[in-house]
Amino acid sequence: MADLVIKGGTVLDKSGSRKADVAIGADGNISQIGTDIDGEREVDAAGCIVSSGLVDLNSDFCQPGNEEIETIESGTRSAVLGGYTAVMLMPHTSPAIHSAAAVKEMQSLRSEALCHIELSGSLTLDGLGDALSPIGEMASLGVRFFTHSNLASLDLSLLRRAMEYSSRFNVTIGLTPFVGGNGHMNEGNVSSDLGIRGVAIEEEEILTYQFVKMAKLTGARVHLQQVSSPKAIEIISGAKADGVSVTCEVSPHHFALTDEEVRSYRSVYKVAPPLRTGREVEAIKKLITSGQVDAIATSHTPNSLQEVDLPFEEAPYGVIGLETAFAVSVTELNLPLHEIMSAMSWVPAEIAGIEATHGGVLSEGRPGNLIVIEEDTKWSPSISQMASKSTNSPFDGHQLQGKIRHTFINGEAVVLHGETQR
Amino acid sequence: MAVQEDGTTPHIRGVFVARSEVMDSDDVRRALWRMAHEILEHNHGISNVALVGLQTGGVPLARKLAENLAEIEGSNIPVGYLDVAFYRDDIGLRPVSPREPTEIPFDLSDKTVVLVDDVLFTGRTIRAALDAVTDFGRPASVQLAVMVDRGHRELPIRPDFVGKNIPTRRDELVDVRENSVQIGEYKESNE
Amino acid sequence: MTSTKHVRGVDDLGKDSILEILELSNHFLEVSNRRIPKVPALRGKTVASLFFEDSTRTRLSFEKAAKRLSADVMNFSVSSSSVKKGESLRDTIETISSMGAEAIVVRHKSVGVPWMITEWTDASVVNAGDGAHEHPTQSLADCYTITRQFGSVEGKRIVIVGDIKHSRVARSNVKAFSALGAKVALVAPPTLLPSSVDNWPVDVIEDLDVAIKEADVLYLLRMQLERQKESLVPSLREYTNFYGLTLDRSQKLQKSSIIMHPGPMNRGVEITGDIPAFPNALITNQVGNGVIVRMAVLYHLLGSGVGLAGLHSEGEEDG
Repeated sequence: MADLVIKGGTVLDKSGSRKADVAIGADGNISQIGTDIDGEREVDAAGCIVSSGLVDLNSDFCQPGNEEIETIESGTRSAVLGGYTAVMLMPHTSPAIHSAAAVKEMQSLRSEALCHIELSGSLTLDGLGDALSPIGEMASLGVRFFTHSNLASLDLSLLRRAMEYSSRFNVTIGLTPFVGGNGHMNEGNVSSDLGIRGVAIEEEEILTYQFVKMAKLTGARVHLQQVSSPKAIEIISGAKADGVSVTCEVSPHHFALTDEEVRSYRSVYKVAPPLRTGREVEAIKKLITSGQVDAIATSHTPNSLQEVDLPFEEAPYGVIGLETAFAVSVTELNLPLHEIMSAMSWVPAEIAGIEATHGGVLSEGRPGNLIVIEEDTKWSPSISQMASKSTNSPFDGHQLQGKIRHTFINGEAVVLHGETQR
Repeated sequence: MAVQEDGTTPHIRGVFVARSEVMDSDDVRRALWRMAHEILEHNHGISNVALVGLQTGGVPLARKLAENLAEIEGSNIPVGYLDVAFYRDDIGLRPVSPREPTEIPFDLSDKTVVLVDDVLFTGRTIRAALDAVTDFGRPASVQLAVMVDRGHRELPIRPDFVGKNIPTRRDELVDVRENSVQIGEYKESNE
Repeated sequence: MTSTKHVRGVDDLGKDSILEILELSNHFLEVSNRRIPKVPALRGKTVASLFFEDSTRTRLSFEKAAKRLSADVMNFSVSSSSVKKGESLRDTIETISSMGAEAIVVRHKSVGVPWMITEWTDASVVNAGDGAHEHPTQSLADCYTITRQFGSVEGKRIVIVGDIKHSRVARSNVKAFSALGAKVALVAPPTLLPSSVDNWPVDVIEDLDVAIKEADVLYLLRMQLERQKESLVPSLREYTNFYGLTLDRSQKLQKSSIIMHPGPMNRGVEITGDIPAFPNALITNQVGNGVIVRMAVLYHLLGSGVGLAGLHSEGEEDG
């Protein structure tokens, strides 16, 4: 008799789908996948999809330093409600994750997390783009990802040195093709009409080209974060064909919303890179459908309550997204669930280097990091009911399809029927 | 379908439907002639008298009275036109918009100002006109000439010169034209 | 998309309301010429003036307009208020609202603030300038100046010259002039034109000397000294050379044309010499018209009953 059985669902993983029950053993791993399994506890998955949990490559939980905005606990609570079993955190906390001590402190905070936390280190000290962080030291503590935030530019020579130096440590460098401070939104009809300084999409394309060219030169492995330009994705695909070790991610807000939203003047539409035009959004969706985008990531960026009511030009960039990413993807993308799970679970698990425990093919012995999905359920997110402490969700009140019913972390039911269990 | 020109803000969308004519063109003509004589008698002539017609109903009447006075006395009398919209006491309670410009091209200080309006009803328009007039100067005195006094005063205002006293029900309407005075009511327009 | 309750942008008004306000302005022109240029129309109403950006001219213009309507005025300027101490915009608006303002006139350096504010108050919101976005009462005043001169704005050729990209006056004017049927042309250095100006209902003319010949109205924008520092133009001298109204250029204007400027002028840059004193330069008229038109705007919002549409009395109210 198994400890726990997820009963009556359709199991979906990298290898395909089949109707099966999934049994979890006392050790938290999958003990059996088959038909008609009985268990001491049974969780109903009839009519649902059972799959590996989602993996996010880009979130900010503000701890340490800004716990009033979000914490590891509130952030991971948000994550598991959204179907995430693992989240990679960005290093711009306070202090930044740019030292062995900071890495150790973050690792100790894992005890407060409801799901697995993976760390990204800062490529440069304080993310300022002036000097390299102790990449080797942090890598030896298990950090496999180093990112540079978009708040300061990174000159080409330092970028090259960072890539060359880190190539010895088998890490991935995450780069965002955007430099903050040049503009608040997409340069186009809307920015011209509103008199708001805009950033031309060409700037993202130029930065993307710089990054992949430099990666080719140095042999580094890079991951392009927050890509919003279709041409930039084409540049990345070209680089892949050219043998560059490069992957890319797109966020749901970049394929669901356009710069026309800014006509509402609401800062909940201020993101970096900015929301683009309808034509570009349609093109991005097609590129996702054709498999040229490796991963969908949320870039979950909470803001403080004071910042909520700031005028658009004064507001910080960023929106939260862990609780809505899956549903927005199902609703907006003309993609079978298998492809969506590829972009949200097994590929990001590989990019983050955690495919041994997340994503992958579901089989006996694999850790029970699973979700149960109601693919057709329609629902409407509400910020007052979100677990995140922050309220900057651009999908508040939207009609979405695709709901997470249950989330399991190492075999433990952390979310049952849409409610967290601890 | 024309909207009633009642000399006040058109706040009801509707059409004036007449039910009875209380003065015909001869009645109106005679009344204006008599009133001109009364003004002259009361003021011992027209020196220092000025007419101010209230927009919009009082304007044609003021002109006609000025013509009559000029014919009788042989000299012209200053005539001004006043829109009292900005002095009304119901601004903010109902739509109030000025209709025709105010033109008072003379100094009314020390003059005898005769306000001219078509219908005297609650007295509120005249109260507003008195406030407006004192903003333009300090007249020696202010008198009031109306074609119709229909009763239902809400303020202590009384006319000096009246064309005709016509008792009415509160919900009735009085329409003063160049050649007739009619009583009727508003019918909601079908537009 | 029009709003009867607010004047945040030209689109809140639409063509019909713009014409109504211009018509109302004629009445306030007459009031302003009286011995006592004041009417009791908005007695008992409070107009709060909230200027986050310094501007004596516009603030005083609104104040004068409100006082001529006998309204009470509450002035909040940033330097003295708690806003500087970190009180949020929302808190400030809610405080002002709770003090009983029926109208809030707001100027702010950030785009969109007047629209945000309407979520936090029941008062009517009047935009006195939000970033580079809109300045609708300036546009109304400019439409009035043009109407007084030519009888109407319709069919007039209006050439706007200068830093269009950063100008809220330009954005509002393009909307207002187009709504009233004028033919609008823009002349500016390429760096000072908005990126998507091709989608605006305007002609873009490269050469001021060409544009000036056909213009009924030559509308000059202020050229900020900072633009040179940002390398948007190489120097102010070069700007004046190619885009300034010099004495030579002013000879090319038609006899019947007028010169306008929203002020304050940078003499010697966008306009030189004695041109502001020429009879066809209506720059000072614009200031007086500004007060008159703001009276019309405040009356339109708080007195003329636009928000009361549908209300009617029990009977005829007259005499």
